[in-house]
Amino acid sequence: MRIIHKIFVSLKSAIILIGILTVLSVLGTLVPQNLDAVEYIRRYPRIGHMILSLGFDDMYRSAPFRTCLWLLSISTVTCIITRWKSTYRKLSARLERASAREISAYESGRPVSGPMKQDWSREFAAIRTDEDGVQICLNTSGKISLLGGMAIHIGLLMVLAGGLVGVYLGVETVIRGSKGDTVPVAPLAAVRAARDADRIAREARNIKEFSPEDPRLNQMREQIEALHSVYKDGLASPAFKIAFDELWIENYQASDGRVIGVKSWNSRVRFIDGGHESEPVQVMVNQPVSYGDYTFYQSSWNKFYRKVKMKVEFIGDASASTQLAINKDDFPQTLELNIKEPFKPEWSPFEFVMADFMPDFRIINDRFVSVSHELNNPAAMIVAYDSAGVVAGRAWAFPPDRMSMAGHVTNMPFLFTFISSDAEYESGMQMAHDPGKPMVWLGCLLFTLGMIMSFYVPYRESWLLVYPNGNTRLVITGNRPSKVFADDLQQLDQQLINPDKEPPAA
Amino acid sequence: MNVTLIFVFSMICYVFAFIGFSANISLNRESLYMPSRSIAWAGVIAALIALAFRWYSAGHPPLSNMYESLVTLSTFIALAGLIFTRNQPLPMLEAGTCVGSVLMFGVASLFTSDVKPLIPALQSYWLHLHVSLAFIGEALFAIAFILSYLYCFRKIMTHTAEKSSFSDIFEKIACYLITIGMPLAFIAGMSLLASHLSQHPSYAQSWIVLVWGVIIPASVTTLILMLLVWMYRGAVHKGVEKWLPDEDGLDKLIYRAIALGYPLFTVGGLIFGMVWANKAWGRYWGWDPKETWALITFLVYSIYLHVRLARGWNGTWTACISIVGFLVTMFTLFGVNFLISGLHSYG
Repeated sequence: MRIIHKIFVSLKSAIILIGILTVLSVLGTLVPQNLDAVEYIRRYPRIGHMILSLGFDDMYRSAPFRTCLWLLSISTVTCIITRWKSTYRKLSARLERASAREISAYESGRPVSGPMKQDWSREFAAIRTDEDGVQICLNTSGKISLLGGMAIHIGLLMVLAGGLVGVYLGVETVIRGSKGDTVPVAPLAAVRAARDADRIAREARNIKEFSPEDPRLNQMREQIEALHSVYKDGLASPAFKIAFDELWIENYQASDGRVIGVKSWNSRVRFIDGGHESEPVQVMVNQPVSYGDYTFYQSSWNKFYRKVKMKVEFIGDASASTQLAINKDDFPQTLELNIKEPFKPEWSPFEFVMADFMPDFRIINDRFVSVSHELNNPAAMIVAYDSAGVVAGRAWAFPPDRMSMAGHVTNMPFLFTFISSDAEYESGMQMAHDPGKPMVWLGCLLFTLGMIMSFYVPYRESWLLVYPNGNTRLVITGNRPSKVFADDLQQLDQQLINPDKEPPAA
Repeated sequence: MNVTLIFVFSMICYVFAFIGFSANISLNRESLYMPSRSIAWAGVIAALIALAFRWYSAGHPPLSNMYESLVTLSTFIALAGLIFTRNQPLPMLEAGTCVGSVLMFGVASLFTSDVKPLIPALQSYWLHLHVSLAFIGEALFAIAFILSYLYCFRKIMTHTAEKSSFSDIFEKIACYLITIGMPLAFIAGMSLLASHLSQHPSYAQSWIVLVWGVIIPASVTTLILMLLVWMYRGAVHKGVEKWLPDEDGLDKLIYRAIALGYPLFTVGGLIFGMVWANKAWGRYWGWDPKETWALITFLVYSIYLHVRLARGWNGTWTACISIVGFLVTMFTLFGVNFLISGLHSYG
């Protein structure tokens, strides 16, 4: 026990722990975090297994990192206790515990430069005479500085404790909504269940990667299902709902009216709690809103196209047109499709689904991608299903000036031409609850005050020793270099000497 | 008003101040010290005026992108150097801060200097507090770095008649590695940056500027300085004895710079950053690479402060930690942005 106490109280242990924490933090930024196990094996064939077994794929929640934090916390507690003892001694009984030998050992000391005035003792707040008859006189200032180190370490401990509370009890998730949507917000217990289910699912995926028959997997599956059902129940009877009334963007404009950047993403929302509805509130970046157990932050913004308007022409020579009874005179037709929503027009024997829509279509490395959210080169993929639900054909819809490309891919009796689509916005709001935050802020405040006290408040002890033979020694010491106190020493010296008498010859 | 021209004028002042301080040391002319200091002050005042103009014209403090951040940090380093030496003339430190400021401005010139409106995430008064306080802290870390470098330089230039112990030999080796290795590490770092930039179409010209404007001049200057120091080591030894405080004095100065910078960096860089992150992103800490590297910087300087309290660790080893601390600070500023992506990708 004594050895353990010795280890934790040692400054060297603290230095080693901070060093290990530094190295682990560096590794956490160099090793990609929270990927699937297979990805680590693929990227790092030699050390992938080691990364996974040490938990470095999720460094800041890994056992080595947490152990290091716990040990540092214990070391900090022992440091606080040890410091308190010495600080208390300095604060409460500095004069009583000081000896003439200790004071005379300070290098910056010197004798008083002349005969002292009669009432010299009035210059000192406390005086005592030791067993050898030496009068020890003391003035102190900046005592608060002595508490700085304590405040720093208590503050650090509170930050760590607050962080720990946040890890176990806090939740963070994102909710998304478009204009007119009302999104249910699950109670805290349900959101915690979803968070735990995600964590277990990731662990299960990693285990499955290496041993698909691992007996733990069944238990984990049951746990995940149970947690998912808690979350579903939470959504079914939500804590409250959020209505997205209005979403809009404010832009910076150049003098010629050109848009030169986004100034602000804004969501106007209402909270609906049972029968009660809150007043509409505006949420924007750096301007969060709190309701119930949660605080909502404008964290992401998405522009998307839900509905696309197209012109449809009949082309008789396409392969799928055989055996179809279609009246050519009914065309062209106008068709409006919502993404992923099946729709069967009267004039068509097929049901259409817009499987994908890309506002800024490009082919990069043989992959079809959208390079922006702007309607620069729109393309919609239309899939047709027959009455049996079998895919009857696929076709791309492009704007009229690019329709030559559509001919290469369509195998339907229809040609689709893009007409228009209105952009809609989706607001992503970070929803957070962290009961550890007040403790963290208090810790930060203490840490800051501690640093101000330690580094910026000078602590000063002004000593005078008067020996029985009449010799004197004047010393000023503290938490600054002795050079800083040179002027104060001179001033105190002047205050002590008798101005009427000449100084003794050297 | 052409703000870039004022910055260039400011850099010219730093170059002349550096020449003045160098002449002051090498020619042993004390009369050159005050004029050199005045020229350096002129450079700082010009840079401050340029920053104020840029702030006025952009409508936000010049802290919103890499160019603005580096120019501000360059000014803070020069200013911190002059304030730090107001009571104790240290021409070698002042010459070092001039070089640091010019190099910082050289790197800043790689980035676009266009004034752009603030993106939504940066529209907060926390931008002023978080970045400016962190930069003042970093400027003081730069002072500590230069002093630590000078400490190592002094150590290798000072010959002791006493028989060296193993510990002394290791210390000397460390000092040699730092004195010779630091300029080489800087050149290697800049070469890596140039190689990285050359692969980005948007930096097509910048890397050429970096090669001709920073890497080649720095390499040539380093080589010439090393040769001169070797050739005139006797005179340099005398100069070091005269113009630098003793090892203990330098150690105390390093501590002072870090003791001033550490609370500012911690409050500005970490705590205000946490408060702002909480307001903007809904969580005060997310292990974003920039956050994590700011924490690593804090941890390295915490190690410095703890090591200094431990007996027998003052001197060379604490100077080495101070140097590592500044390298980590610079990686937080540059490396994270270029090598590791994250939420702080704008600056």
